[in-house]
Amino acid sequence: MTEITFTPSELTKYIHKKLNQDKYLNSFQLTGEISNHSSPPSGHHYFAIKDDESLIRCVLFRGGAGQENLKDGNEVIAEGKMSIYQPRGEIQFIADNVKVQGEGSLQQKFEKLKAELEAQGFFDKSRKRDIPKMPKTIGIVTSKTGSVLQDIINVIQRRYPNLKLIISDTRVQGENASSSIVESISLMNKLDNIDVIILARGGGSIEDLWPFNEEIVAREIFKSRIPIISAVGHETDFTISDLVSDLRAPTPSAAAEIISPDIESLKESINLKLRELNLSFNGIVENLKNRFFLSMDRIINFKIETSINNLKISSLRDNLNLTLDVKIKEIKFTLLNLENSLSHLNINKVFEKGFFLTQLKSDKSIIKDFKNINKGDHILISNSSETLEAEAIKVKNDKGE
Amino acid sequence: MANNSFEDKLKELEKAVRRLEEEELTLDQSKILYKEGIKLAKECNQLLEETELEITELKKELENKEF
Repeated sequence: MTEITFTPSELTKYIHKKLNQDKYLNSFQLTGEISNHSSPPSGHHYFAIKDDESLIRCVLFRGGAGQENLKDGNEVIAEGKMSIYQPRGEIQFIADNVKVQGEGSLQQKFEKLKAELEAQGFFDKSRKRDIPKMPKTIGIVTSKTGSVLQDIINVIQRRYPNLKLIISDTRVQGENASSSIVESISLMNKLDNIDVIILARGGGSIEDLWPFNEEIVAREIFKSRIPIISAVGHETDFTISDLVSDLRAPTPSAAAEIISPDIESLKESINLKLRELNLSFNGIVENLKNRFFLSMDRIINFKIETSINNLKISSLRDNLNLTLDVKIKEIKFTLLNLENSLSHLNINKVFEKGFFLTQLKSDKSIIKDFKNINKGDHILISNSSETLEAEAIKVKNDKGE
Repeated sequence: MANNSFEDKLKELEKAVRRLEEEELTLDQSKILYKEGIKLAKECNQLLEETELEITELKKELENKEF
């Protein structure tokens, strides 16, 4: 039986002291591949350095050298020392300088496969098929557990529930993941009603996403009869699957948006079609109406022209009548004037002026001169009302005879 | 199945609109097309209102197919 008993804090303190005193662990170089790098707002960098069998947690505090080399997949040599994080009792490597040692093996594998497949025409734009704009059935290749599937379902439920989803539960991480993906795609292709496949996985390290960088997956995607949208990891993650697929979506939710037309905009487009329908039909009716009215106008115009002619004739006649009337009136006026002039000659008016009518009593002849008047002739002198009888006493001429 | 899905109805509706716009039709013909279009638009809207997301698993689909 041992005599030593530690509490966790005593133990971590003890290990801490031992690590500091150790000949090697107090200052050394750690070499391996960077993985799971993250840099929270604090400015510190957390990552792991690993090889095929083991992984060591590392931290490079804010201001440390070589931050720019902290990229997943990078093969690095880091200088620093071992330490223990006392609150959790975790051993970690505290780096103070990180240098690149050439690209990591996974990254190298990726580049190599990418170059090979590219040379074989796997990424050719010409072989990319169109993603159906309005699919009816969608195949989804992803893990049934996890938020990715739920994200996809949520988006489709909201945007366009007029769909059928066929889900193939698939391992998307770790051993056998690549063969599970291959199997799912292959089985989907045995159904004849799937319009498009979404191949999806959430974000993760390059190791997590590695199955999507394997050649058998690339070949199965290439072989698929059904168009495939690849939505693996975050927007910044690029995989071989993304490159071979017919379309790459930045995220699984984005893939769901791409294959589901927005129900609201669909409703709008139906309303638009309705308006177009109304417009076209009204146009046709309007056009027919216009043609009808045009014909009617011509008939009516013809009638009007005829009646205008009638009008002309009657006005001519009216004119004629008018002229005649005027003539008649003129004549009447002249006659009236004549009558007036005649009335000036009225005998009574002459009498009124003191003239008298003289007649011979014997034959009642009007005396116009005195040639035939002899001494002793009786003469009648009259005005309008009275007559005086007189006797010629003496007749004188210019010669006094 | 033909002509019963939303997609087919929408296509039919689009066809009716196109024909009304582009073809020379008699009043009777266009009246029929117009009525047909209105009916299709109503049905499209109704399908969108009533539709529900259907989710199945691949295994089930494959079993069904084998029968």
